[in-house]
Amino acid sequence: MNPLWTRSWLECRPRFMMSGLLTAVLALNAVVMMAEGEIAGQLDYWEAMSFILFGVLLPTSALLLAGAGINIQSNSGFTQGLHPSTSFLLSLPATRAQLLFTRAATGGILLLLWILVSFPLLLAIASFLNKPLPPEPLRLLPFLLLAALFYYSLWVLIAARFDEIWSSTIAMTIIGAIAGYSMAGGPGWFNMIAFMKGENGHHQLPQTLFCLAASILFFRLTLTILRKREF
Amino acid sequence: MIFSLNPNSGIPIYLQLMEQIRFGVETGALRPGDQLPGIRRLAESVVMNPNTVAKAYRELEHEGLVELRQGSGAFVSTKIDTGELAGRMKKAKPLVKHTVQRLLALGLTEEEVRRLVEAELRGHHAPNPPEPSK
Amino acid sequence: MTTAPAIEIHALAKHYGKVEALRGLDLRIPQGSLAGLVGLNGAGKTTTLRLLLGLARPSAGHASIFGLPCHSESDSVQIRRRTAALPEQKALFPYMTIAQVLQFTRGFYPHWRDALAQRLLDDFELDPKRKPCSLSKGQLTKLHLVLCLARGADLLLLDEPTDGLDPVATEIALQAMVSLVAESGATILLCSHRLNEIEQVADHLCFIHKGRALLDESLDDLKARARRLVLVFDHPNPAAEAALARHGRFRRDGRSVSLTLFSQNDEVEAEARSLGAVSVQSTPLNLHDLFLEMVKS
Repeated sequence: MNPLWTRSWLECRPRFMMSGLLTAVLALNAVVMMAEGEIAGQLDYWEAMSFILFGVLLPTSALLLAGAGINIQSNSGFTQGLHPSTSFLLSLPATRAQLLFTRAATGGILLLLWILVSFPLLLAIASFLNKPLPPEPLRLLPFLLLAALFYYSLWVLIAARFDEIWSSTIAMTIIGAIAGYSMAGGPGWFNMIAFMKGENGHHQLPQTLFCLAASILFFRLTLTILRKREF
Repeated sequence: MIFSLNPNSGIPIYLQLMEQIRFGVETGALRPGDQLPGIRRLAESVVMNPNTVAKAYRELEHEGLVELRQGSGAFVSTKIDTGELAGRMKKAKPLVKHTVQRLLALGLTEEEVRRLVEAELRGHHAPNPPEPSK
Repeated sequence: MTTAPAIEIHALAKHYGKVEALRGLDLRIPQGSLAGLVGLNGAGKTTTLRLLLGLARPSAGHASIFGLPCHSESDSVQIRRRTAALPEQKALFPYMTIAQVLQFTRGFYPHWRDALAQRLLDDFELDPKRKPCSLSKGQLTKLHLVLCLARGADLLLLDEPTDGLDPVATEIALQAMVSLVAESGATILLCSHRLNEIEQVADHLCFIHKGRALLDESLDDLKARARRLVLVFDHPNPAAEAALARHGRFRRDGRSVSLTLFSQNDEVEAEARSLGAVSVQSTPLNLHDLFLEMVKS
């Protein structure tokens, strides 16, 4: 099992860098924007940043880290044939569950790291710019983690069925749809951004359970698909 | 002893190896008691299958030309009379020389002589390799 | 020899939708042998290897390695602990260097042989600091060879292991294979189109055609019984031809007739002479000729 962790880390490393870079660019952008004064008066910092971080950056980083999984591909789509090294990986003395678990866990741990770094960073920038923030923002962390788990497990599932180009397309569509819905202030379970901000009223608790249950379901489905898959 | 095997000729390689070892003994390149190369070493140097080498050695042992000594390897049998083998070759040489010279005097080219001899040999026996020993 | 075969395949069938890749394949590969697996493109060779490794499941029939069934995942993992596979798709992790790939693979196999790996890297002139994505096809093949040969495996399943290799590298590869068999008694299944190479190092031959095994025997036995007779008649003799045609594949050109036989007995020569052949010549067939004959008949 050991070498599988190393190779998962090596595979996730550039993706982790990418999500870090993306975050830094957007955060920098926001800082510049906010400090510019022109827009400062019109936009609420917390609203804008929470939308970008929770609605865009979090699911996108989850997507980058879910990546191509151990995967693989379908016979339709732009990329024919197997993901390079799939044949090699599958001929090693490791079960498909082990292959999936090491890769998924590595990506998940890095996603967790990303949240634990970027969220406080965001808060720090806000206080630096003397912008108003909701009280006790760190209590939102559990919701962030559950939402991240939800997105991550969903992307891993999609990656088990579709090649990277298709799965990325599907994922970005979902991200856009949820973001748009949340922007429009739609109520209920699809408003993931409100959930992450803890503002979903009486939906908050059931949505918590929903994220957890869905994640477990998605991972189980992924394992089943991989076990049944033929190469 | 240097072996020259042709894997693509259609003749099983172990037969070729056996033939070359016999030829070695006839010409004196291999003497009674000489050690033949180890199976692994020969397989590696000629790049051929070690099981095939082993088979050739076993067949030659069956014929009495070779002795397989447990733990030490294969040796040319000390019981064969190389004198007899060499003697046969010695008698054959002038016969061949005489015939070839006469054929050439008739106006045949070397290539034609070669073909005639090969045809004669082929027509003389069908390819029936020895029964493999169990 | 009564040791169990390394690979045992019985009535193996596999279809992908409407395409029947294997239609009842029967093979037995003895332990310690170097077996060549040949056939036309699409005959079912790679499908067989995939089923052996547990990458796919059979539609019918049974395959086992070292007595363990290939279709059950836990048994398959056991099998893979002792097996080295050289895949058809030779691309490898773009984010690792050669050294890292070796280190990665080494972690799975306790019998990994460092000295052999190093020696082969040198012989093949592979720079450990380079990445597989920057290698040519031949160099990738060489890397896979190192990964397979240094593994300390009991069984090697090699799919086109000399693909893209120059003659020098090919010789190194074949020599390493032969050396491995001699030294450790490993079994090698060599799937290749390079018939002259198979002829050089194999002692067992499997010929797959349209999803079935047409041949599965020792190469020496096969060569012993396969030959071509060239007969010359004074004048065309249709009665003789009809009689002889039932023995094997038959072709006429003027007064010459060629007959491809897969039997060892002399009766056909005697029959040909009694039917009026003035010249009967028998020539052995090499693997290339045999292959073409098998496919045509």
